[in-house]
Formats: sequence, structure tokens, C-alpha cells
Amino acid sequence: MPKRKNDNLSPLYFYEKGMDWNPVEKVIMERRSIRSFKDKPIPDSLIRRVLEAGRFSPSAGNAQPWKFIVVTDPEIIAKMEKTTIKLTKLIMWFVDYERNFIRKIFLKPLVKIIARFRPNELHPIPFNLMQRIAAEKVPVYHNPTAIILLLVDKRGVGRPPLDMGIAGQNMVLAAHSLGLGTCWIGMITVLMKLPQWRKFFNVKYPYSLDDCLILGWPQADFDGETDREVQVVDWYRQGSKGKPEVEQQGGD
Amino acid sequence: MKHLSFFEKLYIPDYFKSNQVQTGNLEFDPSLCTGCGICVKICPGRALIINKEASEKKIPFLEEISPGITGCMSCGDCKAACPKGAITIKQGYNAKYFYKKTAQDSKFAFPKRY
Repeated sequence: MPKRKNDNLSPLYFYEKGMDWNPVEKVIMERRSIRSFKDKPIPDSLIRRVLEAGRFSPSAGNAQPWKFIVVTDPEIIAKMEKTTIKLTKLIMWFVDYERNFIRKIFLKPLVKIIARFRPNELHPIPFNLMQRIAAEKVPVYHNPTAIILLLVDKRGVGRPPLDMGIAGQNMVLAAHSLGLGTCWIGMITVLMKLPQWRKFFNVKYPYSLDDCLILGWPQADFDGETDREVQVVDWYRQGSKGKPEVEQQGGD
Repeated sequence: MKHLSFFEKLYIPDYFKSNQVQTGNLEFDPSLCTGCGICVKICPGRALIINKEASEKKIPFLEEISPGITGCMSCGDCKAACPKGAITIKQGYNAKYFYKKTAQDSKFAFPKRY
């Protein structure tokens, strides 16, 4: 709830116990994923400035295994939205076991087996999301002003998707500090199952497209701090024979 | 730290049973809420609903997908956006069995200035 205020910020490159957030920490703590945007264009130079934050991200072996595609055309975005909803409907016809009792009997055990092999895609949260997208209660791309598609070069060093994540988060934080609203959208994977869309965006070897960022001017001031679950952290500081001390990160 | 037992590792929970998937739950303070709807606009799952035709005060509420299951994942976006501080997270998101959270506590805390 504590709202955006720009006074009392600590200087950068300085630490004192219990001091206020510095500008970078402030953006990290108060950034929220924005899903409703104003109908106001973003200047191209601002998008280029955001992309610059991605270009200067750290990557394993300086491989820079990424490619960015910017989509600002509302017609393409509307088409992407429509196709994703259609395809989600088709997918949910095969896995949504909640619709009637016959599906519950036959489909539920099958879905649980699929979930064992694809635990990330069929986690209860995306499952519920896809169910609600199929019911057209939730939009996929939330009418953004621009979409940045994040293509991963599979030939990068180490784990290229991780490098892509770092670059993406850099861009998200930079965009937010410049006043834009951003959100990561992973549902683009559904769209990428279609060959005609892969062809449209020219996504072919060595590139793969699993995530995108939506950008736009936020409709209202949504930012602020929120509370999250306390994290349990192990601290190893008692020598190799000692046991780790368990600490509650964020708790008292 | 919590651990996953052998059975828990094997068992995929039923997503629509409240004893197997604990979804988030929110509490709205009716004396603070003005019914502006900013929380409805930011909710990632569009799980919050505001009844516009209500004759009295328009207080948002969580829609139930099935009994005891809401679309809330307790991300706290609504709480952060609320200008009046009328929202509290009553219950966090935690799917049981295979998807059980093991490194997070059920307590909630604001970012702390260490």
C-alpha cells in the first residue's frame, strides 16, 4: 500500500543499515505487472531505449543469445489475441476435466499423467488461466501498445533461456523506471505451436520463442509495495561439520 | 524447511478440490473500500469481480471457480494498487502434494529494509 513517493531516496553505491530504498531498489520493490493500458502511443525512441537495456545485459560467455522483435501494429496484436484464444480452446477441450462428470472420470487420470511429464505447463495456475482464457473471461495480451518478442538463440553458452530472462528483466525494470507498464506473457508459446505464426515472425532454427513482454502506459497508478510469503533461507556459516542455520528472510 | 514425502512427490493434486489446492483469499475492509475498481483492473487472473448494480456500496469480491477454489494466487497486486489499503491477504496460494511450496512460509511480510 505505501505509495510512490520520490523523496527520502538513498543515494546509489552506498549502504547503511536500515536505510531507505535507493532508486533501483524502489523500482524493484514497487514494480507491479500492469495489465490495463491507456490508448496512447509509445514513442519509438522510448522502445529503442528499453531495448538498449536488453542489449547491455550480462550473458554467459558474452554470447548474447537473443533476438528482439517489436510489434506495435494493433491489427497484428488483435489477430494474435484471437488465434491464441482459439487454440487455447482447442487445447482445453483435450485437458479440461472439470466440464462434466464423464470427463472427470476418464480425463482426470490422463491429465494427471500428462502433468507428471509436463509439470510446468500443467501447473494448477496456468491450467486455471487457460481454462479462463478458453471461457473468454481473461484476455491474453491485455491490449498492449507494443509487444517485444524475446527470441532465444539455442546455440548460446550454458543455458540461453536464463540469459534471455536476465535481458528481459533488465528491459522490464528499465521500462518501468521510465514510467511504462510492463508484463511478461508466457502464453505466446501457445501461439508458437502454429507453423503459420512461426513463419510470420520468422522463428526458425536457431531461434525459439517462449516469452514476450507487453508494454504500454498504465491506466492508473498501480505501483506500490505488497507483502509476500516469508522465505526460508539456509545459512552455512558454522564450518563444514556444522549444520546450516535456518533464517526467515523478511520475517521478524 | 518442509520436505516432500515419497507419496507427495508422486501425487498430482486435483486442481478443483479445496483440500488439495489452497488458493488465495482476500479480505476487503468495507469501511475503507470506496469501490473504485483499481484492484479489478490489475488482477492478473481477472479473479476479482465488482458488482456494479449493487444498490449499496460496491465492494469487489473473489469469484469462485469451484467450491473453495478461487482464481487468486495471492500475488498482492491488488493490495499494492489499492489507494486506501482496504485489502488484506487472508490466505496464500499453495497447491498441495507434488506442487507444495517448500521454501516459503505461510506468513506474509512487506519488503524489509535490512
